[in-house]
Amino acid sequence: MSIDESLLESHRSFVDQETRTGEEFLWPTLGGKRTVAVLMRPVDASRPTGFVFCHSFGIEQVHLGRLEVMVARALARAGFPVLRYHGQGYGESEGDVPEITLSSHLADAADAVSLMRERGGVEKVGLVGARFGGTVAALVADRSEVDQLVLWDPVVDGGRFINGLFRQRALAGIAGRSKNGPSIKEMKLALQTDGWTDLGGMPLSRTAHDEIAGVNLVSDVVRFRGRSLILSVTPSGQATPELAQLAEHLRGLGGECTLSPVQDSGGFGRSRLQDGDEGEAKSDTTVELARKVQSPTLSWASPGI
Amino acid sequence: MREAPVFIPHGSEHLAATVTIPDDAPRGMALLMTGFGAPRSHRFQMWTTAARRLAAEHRIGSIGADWVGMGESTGLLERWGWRASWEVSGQMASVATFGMRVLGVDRFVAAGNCVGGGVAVAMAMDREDCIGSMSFLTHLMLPNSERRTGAYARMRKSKLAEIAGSSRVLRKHVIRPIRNQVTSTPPDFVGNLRKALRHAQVLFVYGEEDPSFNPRIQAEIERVEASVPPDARDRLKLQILEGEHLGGFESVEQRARTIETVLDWTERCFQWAEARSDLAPSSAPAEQVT
Repeated sequence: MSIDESLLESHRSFVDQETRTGEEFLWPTLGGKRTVAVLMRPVDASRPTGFVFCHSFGIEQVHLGRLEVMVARALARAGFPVLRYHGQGYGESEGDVPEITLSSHLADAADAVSLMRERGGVEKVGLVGARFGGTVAALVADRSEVDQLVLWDPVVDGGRFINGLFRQRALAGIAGRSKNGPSIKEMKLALQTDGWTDLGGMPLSRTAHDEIAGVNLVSDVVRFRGRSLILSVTPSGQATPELAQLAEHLRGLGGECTLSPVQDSGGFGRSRLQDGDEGEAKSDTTVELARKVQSPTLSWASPGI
Repeated sequence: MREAPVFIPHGSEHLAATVTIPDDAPRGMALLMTGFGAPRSHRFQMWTTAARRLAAEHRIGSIGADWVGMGESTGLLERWGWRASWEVSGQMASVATFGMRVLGVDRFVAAGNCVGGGVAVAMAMDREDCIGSMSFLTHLMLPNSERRTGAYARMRKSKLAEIAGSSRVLRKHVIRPIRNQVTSTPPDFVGNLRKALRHAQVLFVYGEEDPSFNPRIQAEIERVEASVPPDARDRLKLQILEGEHLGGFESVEQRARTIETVLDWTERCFQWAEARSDLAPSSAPAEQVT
């Protein structure tokens, strides 16, 4: 056996001297199985609060992944330890895709909070989540000792979210992107009869469907009294009534909640790749979106910076 | 089998990568690449599954990495040109070199889709230690002049193209003929492909309905086939999936089939290389597989 273990170990982390931050790959057990996580930290003194990123569900995990990396790095540059991870069934986790459920997302996130307390050297933990990752973050914050919550366009109503995913899949079939794409009715029938359906390459189990469809943050978050930030990302730049209601709900529980609208028409949670202009094949608007999301997030996380 | 995530330096950036290591001495390595926009594990763990099965079932190690400005790598990438595969291949050259050093092997097979597919065939053309390539949905027909690049971009963004793109008949009878007028394979494609076939097995896979596929690609590949010796001809394969749109691998069945293709072609490449005395031996030949 001639594996160069020292080469592997010496490349598990790096330090960026320009930004004075470091990143380290971890291989922790989250949600009962091993997975990949990345701990980002300032080289110099850290702030007492660390942030854990909860990623979204299904294909949104892919589309929002780069945005999360970029904002995580911005938080680390501002002095916060940040932990990101591949939930079970995603990326390089040991779990398989069919095992993904709301319960698996919650278990991964709860364990990630514990990991941040152990490895991040922090006194307090905040959670960050986009779309369904926001739903997971809010539910875990409600059930644990989490002080701060950052929700980017969170999914409030799980039933509406899962129906939206079905609709997207069916529309892809109509547009000819997928051969003989199934109708919404056929996908729902498959869930009932086979126990799973093919959601654009992701095997969605009936358990996952039912758990997600049953979530509503306004009724399910009942205890959280910490600080929270909700970004409502819309083409108009106006916050949605649904997120205004969620903000009001969090305030009603006794917490301090800031609701900020962010104008963006690129589709939050969708692919940000577009056909390019002259001389270009494609462009990616994630960088532009990251600037819009990063600014209010950093201002809220570190007032005065 | 085990996995090790690493950051590989490339210029001023760090490429996030994962090495998958078989339990026993590896026979060689597979380099797994994605198109821009997908993480190194690919959508719904497609490459993660392929890497684990290559290690467990074939004793072949692998490495997959995020491009600069994508996934967990550092850097920014906001726009790219038609020849991106040729411009970014240096990133994956760094990754391949690192992976082979870790695994202690000296030959590899490269696989990828879209931009990654272009890099895969470029590796087979450029490097004798690359004994095979698999290119899924690779744009081989590129705008063939500066003027035409602009015209092509304008055409793609037009309302007419949007309407025509939603119809299979219009795609075939309107869009494809227009595209044929303004695109061609890269210069020296045929010559470089012939060169690759001396030391590598080359596979191209398209869905018949994919925008990246064009019957002219088939004609070019047939031209290469006709011009090389019979044994080299067997090392070149074009697979066109009739009536399919493979883009995004948007079905469980397509994902599974793609993984099987990667496993089969990789095994075929290593068996062929291990049987050839004129290719440099890797550290642990197939006879040692238990």
